[in-house]
Amino acid sequence: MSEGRQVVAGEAILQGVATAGRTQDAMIEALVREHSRLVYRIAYAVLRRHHDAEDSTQETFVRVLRYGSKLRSVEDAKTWVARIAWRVAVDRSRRQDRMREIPLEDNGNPLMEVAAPLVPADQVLQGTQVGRVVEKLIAALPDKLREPLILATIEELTPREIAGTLGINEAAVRSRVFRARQILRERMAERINSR
Amino acid sequence: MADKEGDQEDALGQGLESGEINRELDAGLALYAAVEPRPGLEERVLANLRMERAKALQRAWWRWSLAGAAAIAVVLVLSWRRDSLFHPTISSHSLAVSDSLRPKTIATSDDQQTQARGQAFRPMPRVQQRMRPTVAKELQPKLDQFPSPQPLSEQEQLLARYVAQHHEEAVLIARASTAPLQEDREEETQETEAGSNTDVQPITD
Repeated sequence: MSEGRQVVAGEAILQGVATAGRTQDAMIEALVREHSRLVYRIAYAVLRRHHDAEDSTQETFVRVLRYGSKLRSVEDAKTWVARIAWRVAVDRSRRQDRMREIPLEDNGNPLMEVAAPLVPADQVLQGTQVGRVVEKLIAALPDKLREPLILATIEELTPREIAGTLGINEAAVRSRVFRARQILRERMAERINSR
Repeated sequence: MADKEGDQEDALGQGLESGEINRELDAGLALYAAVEPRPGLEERVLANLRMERAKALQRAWWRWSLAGAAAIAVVLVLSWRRDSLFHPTISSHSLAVSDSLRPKTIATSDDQQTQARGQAFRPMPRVQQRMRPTVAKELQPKLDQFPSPQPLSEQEQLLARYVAQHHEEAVLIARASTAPLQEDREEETQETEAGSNTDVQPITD
């Protein structure tokens, strides 16, 4: 009788472990489906290359898998994933030392991709030029201002989530983004006046 | 009045300029992160995760098998050491040859000495040399502990039983067997005493 109970208890434990594993896998799969685009955008905002951004996205989710046991205790999964994505991208960028390097030619230029096909060619060209100017100006900003500004350009992230990603408070995010924008505006004005 | 109009025009121009700059900046920032991944990113990520999971399982299996092998090795070593502690071992000490066992040479003359030396240090055949230590070890095992703590053999048990049952007979037999030995010993002592008396000569000037 007691043996029978033990067997039943053992089966229950095994089933529980299997269910927990399945639940975790399901949670990770849900995270991938929900946030892979955000992770990709964060990676691209830092690395500025499509293949690097994709590699970084893969690495981010591998880390999520590795820290899967912590997933249950995470309050805000989106911020948690965004923080991992940010760290992975920054680490990769430091390794490659391409943070301030603007590629001359990128076959998968995002500016061309987002441009609508019905937009006139001159406007596309102008938009591309503006985009490149802004990219150069952002690259010239100090790290402290550039990081929140880069994340602020990603539409999915709120200032609160940016604060959580960078580990600073929301007010600091707002003020740094404001200052960064001010500097960019001044430099753009200088360029226009010099034309 | 004209100055006022000029200032207003400048302010208007600056306003237009700043508005244009703001628009361009907003457009540029919007384009900065407005990027779409190649289609099928989710599937690629999920496939990669499946592969990582399989790798992790394989790694865990290897880790556990290595740990199991190490544990078995430790258990084997420990059991072997315990056996060696509780059971006596016959040590393979090198046999110390006492001086009494060494071949003696009697010094009579130079020729005899050299002949005797030659006999004493005659090189043995190679096969004999090789075999000698093993044979000696087998014949005279030297125990770390004597007498051995091993249980009595069958013969020893029989002997002990006989001594217990027929004590007087056993004593008589023992005396009979030791009597010639004692006689020999007495003779030897007498001879040595006599020899020492004849060798020692009084020193005379």
